[in-house]
Amino acid sequence: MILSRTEIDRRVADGSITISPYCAAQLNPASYSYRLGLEISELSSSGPAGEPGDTVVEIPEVGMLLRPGRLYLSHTYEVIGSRECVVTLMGRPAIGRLGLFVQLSADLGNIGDAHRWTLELTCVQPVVIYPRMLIGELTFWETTGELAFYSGPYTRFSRPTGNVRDLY
Amino acid sequence: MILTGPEIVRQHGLGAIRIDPFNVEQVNPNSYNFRLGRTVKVYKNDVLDPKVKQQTVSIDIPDDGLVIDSARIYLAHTEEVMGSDRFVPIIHGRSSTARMGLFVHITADLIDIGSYNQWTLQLHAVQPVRIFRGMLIGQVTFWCVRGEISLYAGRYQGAMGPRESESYRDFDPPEAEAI
Repeated sequence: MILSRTEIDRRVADGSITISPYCAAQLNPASYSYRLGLEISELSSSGPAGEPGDTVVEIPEVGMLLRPGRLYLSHTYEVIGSRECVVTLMGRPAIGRLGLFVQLSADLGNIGDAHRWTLELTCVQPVVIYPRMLIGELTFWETTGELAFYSGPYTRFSRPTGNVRDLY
Repeated sequence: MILTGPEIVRQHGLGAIRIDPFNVEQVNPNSYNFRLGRTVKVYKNDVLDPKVKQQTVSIDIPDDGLVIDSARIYLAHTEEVMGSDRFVPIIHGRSSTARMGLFVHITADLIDIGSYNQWTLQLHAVQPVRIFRGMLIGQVTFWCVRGEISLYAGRYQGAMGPRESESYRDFDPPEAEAI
């Protein structure tokens, strides 16, 4: 079952869902609109994606132009997580209509600790982004069965983080 | 919980799901196939700034189809008006469209409860693809909700045809409209 806005709001209040900072005005009928974080990393143009050497920069307040054919890693402004529900993450309709992908194929979160989520940005046409802009939506799903918590490497990161294969 | 095909038919009959026009032959085991409407829109600008209201050009899809290229975003729409006050609709491509490298949405697959429209599709082709009006292009699933429901009352309610991004409304001032 997907949680309604009332239910998301209630579970944020009782602590079983973490969204920080939280603003009730960002609730939708069955989702929560999150903001883009402050930092971004453009994957190295030489060599395969995911190799070391990508630099993280601040997104300027005047905006930053993303170019097609490139992959950028940014992150949510909010710390997000739940030890009770499954979170899925997507872009906002108004952002998809500009041809900006906010995640690529992997929209499913793990039950576990809260952190700032890495976003995989790529665009169809050149598009400008701004720090803290409303960029995506989160949905929350009830589970059935015994809970097991994520213990992998990515919750240690709250900055845009590439592939961390050496931690496995 | 996701609705089965027979439950979609039953809830449509009860009025809890609206799909107009509705054709029982488009019902799958756990989804409903929707059709591509006749109009697409493209942006006049190459560079898209979400703070700026973008100008668009409308194109009617000809009888022999329209080839869309990979360098632009094409805003299309469903032929059907769809929505529900009780279930959350989520849209997906069909496997046959995906196998042509055609995205029917870029990133936003969730439809708000209580939103009734021809839904805007965010078409993106990995390689050039020919699209035809009326083609079965995507499918919608319906999901049960936990908790008290409050219905959508946002800016795209009642939209017919493709609607361009109104992201600029989020910036000035951000609290001016229900998000």
